[in-house]
Amino acid sequence: MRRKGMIKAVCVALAAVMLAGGVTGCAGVGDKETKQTQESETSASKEQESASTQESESEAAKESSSEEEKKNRFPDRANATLKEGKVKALEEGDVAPDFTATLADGSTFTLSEHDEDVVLLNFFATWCGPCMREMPAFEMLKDDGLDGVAILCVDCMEEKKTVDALVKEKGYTFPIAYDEEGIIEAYYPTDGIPYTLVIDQGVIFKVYLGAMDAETQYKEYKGAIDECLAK
Amino acid sequence: MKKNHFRRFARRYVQLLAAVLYNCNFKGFATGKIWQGNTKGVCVPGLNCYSCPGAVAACPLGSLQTALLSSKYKFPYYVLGTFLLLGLFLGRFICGFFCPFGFLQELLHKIPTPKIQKSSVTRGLSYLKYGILLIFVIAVPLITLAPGFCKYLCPAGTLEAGILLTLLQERLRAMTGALFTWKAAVLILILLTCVFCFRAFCRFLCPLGAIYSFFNPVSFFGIKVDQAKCIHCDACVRHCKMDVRKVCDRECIQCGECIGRCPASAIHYGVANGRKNPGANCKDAVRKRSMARIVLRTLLIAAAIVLLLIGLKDNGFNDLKNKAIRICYECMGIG
Repeated sequence: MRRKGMIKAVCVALAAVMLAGGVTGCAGVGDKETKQTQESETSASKEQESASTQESESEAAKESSSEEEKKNRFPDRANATLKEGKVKALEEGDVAPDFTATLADGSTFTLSEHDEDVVLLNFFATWCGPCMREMPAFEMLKDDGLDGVAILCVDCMEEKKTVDALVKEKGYTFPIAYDEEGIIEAYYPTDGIPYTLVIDQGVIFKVYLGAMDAETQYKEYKGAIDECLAK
Repeated sequence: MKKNHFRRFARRYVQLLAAVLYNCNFKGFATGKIWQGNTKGVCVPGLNCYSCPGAVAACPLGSLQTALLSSKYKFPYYVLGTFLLLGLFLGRFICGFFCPFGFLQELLHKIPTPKIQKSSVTRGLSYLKYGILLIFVIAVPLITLAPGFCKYLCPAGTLEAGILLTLLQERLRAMTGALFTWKAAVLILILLTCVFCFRAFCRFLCPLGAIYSFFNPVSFFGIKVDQAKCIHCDACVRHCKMDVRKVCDRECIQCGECIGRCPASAIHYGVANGRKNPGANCKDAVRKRSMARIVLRTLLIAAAIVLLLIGLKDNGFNDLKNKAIRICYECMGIG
């Protein structure tokens, strides 16, 4: 009898804890989705505003043929991140959503400022083994000093002090960005990290999930960058 | 009839309930997308891969390994506090009741085949899990930056994440290679062994069981023996399928099978004190041991609370959630 009672109690307690957790979790997901959608909407409206301002300015002035040329050459980012109000998973050929990130050295990185470059964009975390193992590949690519190539590694939702500790310990000199709130990551949704994209003139050229060792990844990324530069 | 049925299968129902509750993101099984809710910031007590599309909370062993991996940048207060609290309250009771992989092994052992009985060999093999804990769970993550147990051995990860997610996501299927083949082979070998040998994985390999086994002597809840009633017939140990030397030692998963075997009704589930009714004739040595246990428990619970509080203040909950909401490629065998 005692055993039965005990088991019943354990059973009920476990069910209660998990159900309570489930409800909290549901609420959390809802919050997250709302937050992401809100952020996307805010960003999209901002981008739309800035695009319309640019358009009116260029219409009013009708001065620069290079502006027109640029507009034709580079993708319209206003709708890049939104598809029916949701952040969509990115594929090769998609326009890379614009963002501005704060780097560990205090400067900022805006993707749209590198529209004429090949951008190697990586998402990582210090607890992710494959991420840490491939990190030297980015240092090697940076050391190559290729013209028209920009590298950015975005830390996924860790605190600044953790990222700073990594940079200090490893002495990496390539740009590493904070993303404590997961705002940049929300535009580049992925199930797992490392997640690396090669972006050529604002369009996603190649997507990599996971990683092997630094040497292998260096060759992979270098190959993709060379392909873009050779175009 | 109903009462007897419940009494007989109560543990099975609890195990089933635990497995379902750990993996109640049913939508994930259809879409292949893993749960990203706040509950991923909490560890379940049993072995359950957080990259499983159904999992709604984190795996304690996976969490420990990823925490150790980045421990030089951030000390894992929250995960260690969770372990201490779980061990202190439940010990290996978790193995017997709240572990889905243990449940699966017990079901496999129901398949009618010749069975391997416990012996000095199996008793010797039961020490293997401590080696695995030391090497794959602690040393490999610290030295090679890989969650060693998840990457090379964990059958739960292969079954719940590796196989399921590669079936559901084509792009992950393309990433499988030698490591996936190795992990699949390990899984098949373990599952086959479990048909012939009771809970072979738990007894010989599981590092989570090894961690909880340290807490068995001091855990608050679990199997207790009434020494005043015990007639030392050893019926409990003889009938136990685990490699126990006495009830509630490090190998005891507190399944309660021995309760019905005890001719003196001296075994029962209980809370806190390991010795019921110590009585006036209780020897000094026993009384001292009992006192030492109380002191140890108090110290451990204080340590658990301090670690958890520091961990929570240090963003530990969000750190764990941010790890567990992402697919662990290494758990899947494609890292």
